[in-house]
Amino acid sequence: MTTPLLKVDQLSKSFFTGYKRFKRQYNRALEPISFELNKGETLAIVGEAGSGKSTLARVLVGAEVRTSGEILFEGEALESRNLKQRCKLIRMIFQDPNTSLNPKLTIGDLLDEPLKFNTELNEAERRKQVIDRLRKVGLLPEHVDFYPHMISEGMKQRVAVARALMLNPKIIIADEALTALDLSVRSQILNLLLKLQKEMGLSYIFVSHNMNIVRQFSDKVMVLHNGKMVEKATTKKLFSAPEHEYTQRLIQEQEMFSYKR
Amino acid sequence: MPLLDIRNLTIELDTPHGRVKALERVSLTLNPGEVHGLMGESGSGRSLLAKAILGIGGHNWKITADRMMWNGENLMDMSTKQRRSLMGSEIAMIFQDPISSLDPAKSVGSQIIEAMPDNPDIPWWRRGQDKKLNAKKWLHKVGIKNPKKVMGSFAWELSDGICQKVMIAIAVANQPKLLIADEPTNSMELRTQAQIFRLLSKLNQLHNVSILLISHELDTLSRWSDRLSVMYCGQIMESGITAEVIETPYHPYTRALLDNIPDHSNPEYHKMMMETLPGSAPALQHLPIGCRLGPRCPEAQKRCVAQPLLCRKKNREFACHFPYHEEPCYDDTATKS
Repeated sequence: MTTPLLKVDQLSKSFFTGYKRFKRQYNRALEPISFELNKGETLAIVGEAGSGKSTLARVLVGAEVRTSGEILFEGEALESRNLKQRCKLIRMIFQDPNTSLNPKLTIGDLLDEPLKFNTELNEAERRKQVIDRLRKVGLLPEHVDFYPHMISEGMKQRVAVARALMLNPKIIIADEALTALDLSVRSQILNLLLKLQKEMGLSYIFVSHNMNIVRQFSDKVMVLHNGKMVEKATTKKLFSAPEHEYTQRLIQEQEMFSYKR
Repeated sequence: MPLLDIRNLTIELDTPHGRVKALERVSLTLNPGEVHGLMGESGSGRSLLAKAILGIGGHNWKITADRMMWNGENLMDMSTKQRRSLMGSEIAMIFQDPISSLDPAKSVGSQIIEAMPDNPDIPWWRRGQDKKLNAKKWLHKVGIKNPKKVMGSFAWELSDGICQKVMIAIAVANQPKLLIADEPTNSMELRTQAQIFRLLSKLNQLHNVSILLISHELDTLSRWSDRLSVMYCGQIMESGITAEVIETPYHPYTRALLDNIPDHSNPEYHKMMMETLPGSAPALQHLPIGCRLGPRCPEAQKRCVAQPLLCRKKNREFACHFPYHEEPCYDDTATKS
């Protein structure tokens, strides 16, 4: 029995909403949730706005502190406060590449930053790694001196992927990373992610509401509704025989937007 | 007679880098009572085209066209006053971001009433009440359950979907002949998207409103539009009846776009690489000459440095020297000179 790469056990999150009759009131954004993720696998999280999928992604990456539960990485528990340890293992790609890159830094500096804060490498070694990662995502070494406004949207998202790759993470969390992109750029980035998964054995946690992409891209799907997990299955099973009523509705709605071949 | 007939529309922008042709020789025909999809990636000039049709160009625009016929009249010959009277009454537009295009300092109800014309058949002292009733009626028609409450609230109090519905109500309240919907469902929930599209197609069928639907989602357009035009970098690549365009694309760009949509019919395709065009769309300052798809096109040859003219074959139009079609057009004489 091998231990899974990431094991999440009864993870939950509630937000403080204020006092009522001198008692603290909480809003349960995420009910206790458990799942496992193996090496080289892609887990998709789908659901509507307010279903807690972004909250889950943010808790996993460490941007929010969890209320209860455990996150086990290769059998070891991740502490909620030890961000330095976590940010080397789990990285995130954000939704909008136009706003997630600092406009005042060149791309070289942007990619250099995670290395500067988390590793002991000297400048030449860091530079080498930056260029290596840029090549990996299909950009040129010359792009180091560019500013984010000088390159196109698709290239910006590639830079965001490269930044996530800088510290050799095991898991990348993509929070709606493909929704803001054009059709052809989207499939380019999707191809890039697939290629990296094959080469480096990465695992992805993929948050999306586009069922078409999820179906193409993921191995396992988890459906969230109002902070509760309503269904968890492999992609093939979920799309051929959805069990929960809510999943059926999601798939049906997607069909209104996809054409028949 | 087509409702809107545009031939060879060119829009030039004066930028710090010199004059740039943002739209080049765009032709578009829109028949009454149809939903026309306009597909284009960001930066392909689809919003410019929409604004040019409505007549709200910027100060640095230079618009030239062979003709721009609206219902038999040439829009290019009209005075500003005449154009203004068409705006909002016969041609209405829904803008991209509904929340930011509504006035945040006024209630939604007063904005709808503002857009409605006076009814001369009713004595003036009852017109106000009549408008209010009408506004409520339209809000109800676009699918808002509690129109009275929505009328009194501000744009920032409402959700994305409701704001978009209000925008549609404002646009439709004057019973326009043409509704230009510029990315009506951008960044919305799937469920609200479905509602908005159902509403638009209902308007099209019940009130005979022609709709120019602008979007970058090809699968959405293929589902909801009767005719489809595909745009790339300010040039029309292909247009025709949606089903035919999707079934047998003539243009390499349309084919490439269709390849980008995941196919689930064969389980072997799962997690496979998809075919994409190499590179990315060029910036406005660095446009290639001739066919702008040229540098990325899989079929490109030497002749592509001359812009192909739009060629019409059995109500399909395409602009390519090497289409996926048995007999390409041989009317390249104009481009040679």
